[in-house]
Amino acid sequence: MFDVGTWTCVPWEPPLASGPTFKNPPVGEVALSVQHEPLARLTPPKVARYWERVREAFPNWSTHPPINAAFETFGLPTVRRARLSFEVANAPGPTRAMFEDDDGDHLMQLQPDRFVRNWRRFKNQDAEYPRYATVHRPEFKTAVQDYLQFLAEWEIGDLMPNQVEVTYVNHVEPEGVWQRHGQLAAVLAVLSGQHSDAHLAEPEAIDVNLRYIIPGDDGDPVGRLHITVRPVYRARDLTPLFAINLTARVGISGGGVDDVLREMDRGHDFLVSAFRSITTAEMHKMWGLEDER
Amino acid sequence: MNAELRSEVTYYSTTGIQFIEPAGGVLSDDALIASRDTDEDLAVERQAEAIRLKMQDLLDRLEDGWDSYGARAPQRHLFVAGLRLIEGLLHTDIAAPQVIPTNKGGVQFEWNVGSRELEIEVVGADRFEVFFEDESTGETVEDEVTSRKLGVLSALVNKLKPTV
Repeated sequence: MFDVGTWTCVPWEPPLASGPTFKNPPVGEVALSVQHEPLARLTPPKVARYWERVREAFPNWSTHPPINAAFETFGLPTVRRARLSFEVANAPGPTRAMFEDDDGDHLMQLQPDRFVRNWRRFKNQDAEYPRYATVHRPEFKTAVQDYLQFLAEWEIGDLMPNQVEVTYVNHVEPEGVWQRHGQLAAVLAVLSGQHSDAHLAEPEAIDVNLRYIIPGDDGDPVGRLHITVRPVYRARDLTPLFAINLTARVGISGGGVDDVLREMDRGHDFLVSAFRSITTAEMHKMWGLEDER
Repeated sequence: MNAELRSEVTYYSTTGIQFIEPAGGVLSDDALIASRDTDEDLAVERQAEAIRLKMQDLLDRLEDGWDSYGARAPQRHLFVAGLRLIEGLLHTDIAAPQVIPTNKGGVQFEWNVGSRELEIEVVGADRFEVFFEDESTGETVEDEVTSRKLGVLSALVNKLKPTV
C-alpha cells in the first residue's frame, strides 16, 4: 500500500482538481496536511506502532518539534497577531514524528493534531513532477484512510479535522528571463519593478509576502492563501533562485475523508490558479503553461 | 538526515544559510493587524494579560476531578484556542469577562452587563459555543461558530457596550 517507489500501486481516480497546469512546473515540494483536534492517546508507543505499519516504505524515523496549530480567522475587525502564550510546563510536550523513504523524496509526518504527507524533489532531481490529481491526492487519501484505520484499531480516538493545508514550494530559476534578485518583477506580475524617480537603482533583493482570501461556495471566506517570495541561491552551483512558497489553509468542521479531500481540492485549485495569476507570462512560457482542465 | 544529502536543497540566501525543511504549516498565524491608539492598546493588553494569568493559573492548578464530580483537567489546546480568541474580542469600554473552567476541560468566558449576558465556551480547537441573552428585549442567541465566523461573536460583544 505504501510502496512509494512506483505509482502503479495507487488506485486511479478521476482527476477531480482543476486549474492551470504547467509542463515543467518549478515545484520543489508539495505538502498536504490535515489539522485536527488533538488525539490525547497518540502517545510515543502508539506512534511506534504506526511506524511499524509504514516502515517498509518509510524506513527512516526522526523526531522534531511539533508544528504549531494555526487557524485562519475571519470576522474580527480588531484581530491582532496573537502575542500571548502560556508558559511551558515541565512535562515533555508532544513531538512530531517524520518518516522518510530511503531517497528522502517522500515523507509522512504525524503529531497529535496533524497528519502531513510530503513529496519533495530531493534525491531524484530530474524525476518528472508527480501531479496532484493523479499522484499526490490519491496517495494522501490512501494514507489518511490507513491512518484512520490505525486509529480505530488501537482505539486512539476519532480524527476530527478542523483545517486542511496545501503547500507548494517552488524554486524559480532564471530561465533566461531574469538574472539578479532585484529583477523579481520579471517573475511576479503583481510587482511593477518601477520607482517614482531616478533616486534608486535596482534593488539588491526583494522579499514579498502576499495574502489572499479563499472564498467558499457562497462567497464567504473559508480560508486564506499565504505567499512568500525569498531570494536564495542554490547550494551546488550558486545559481540565484526565487523560492516561492504558497500555503492554502481552508477551515473544516469535522467530517470524513471525502470532506477533507473536497476542501483540499478547494485549497489546491485556488493555489495553483493564484500561482499563475501572480507570475508573468514570460515565466509561464518557460514552464510550459498548458490548457486549463 | 545528513548534511551531504541535504545539500541539494540547501540555499545560501542573502541573509544566511537556509535549510529547506519539509513544509507543513510553519507560516505565521493569522496576522490581520488593526491600528489602535496607544492608550487603547495598552488597556486591552492589560485585560488580555490578566486573562492569560488567570488561565495559566487554572492550567497549572486544576487536575482531573477538580470539581469533585469527575471534571477533566484543563486541556491545553482548548485554553490556547480560548486565549487566541479572547484577545480579539476585548474592548476598552467593556469590562473583561470572567474566566471559568468547564468540566470538559475547556474554558468559558462570561460577561454580565446589566440585563445582558454573554457566554462563549471553547469546546474544540476551533469550535466555540455561544449563548447571548438580553432580558430587557427578550433577545436570545445560541450558536456554534468557528474561526471563519468570528463576526458573530464580535457582533454579540458589541451588544454589551454601554448604551448612550
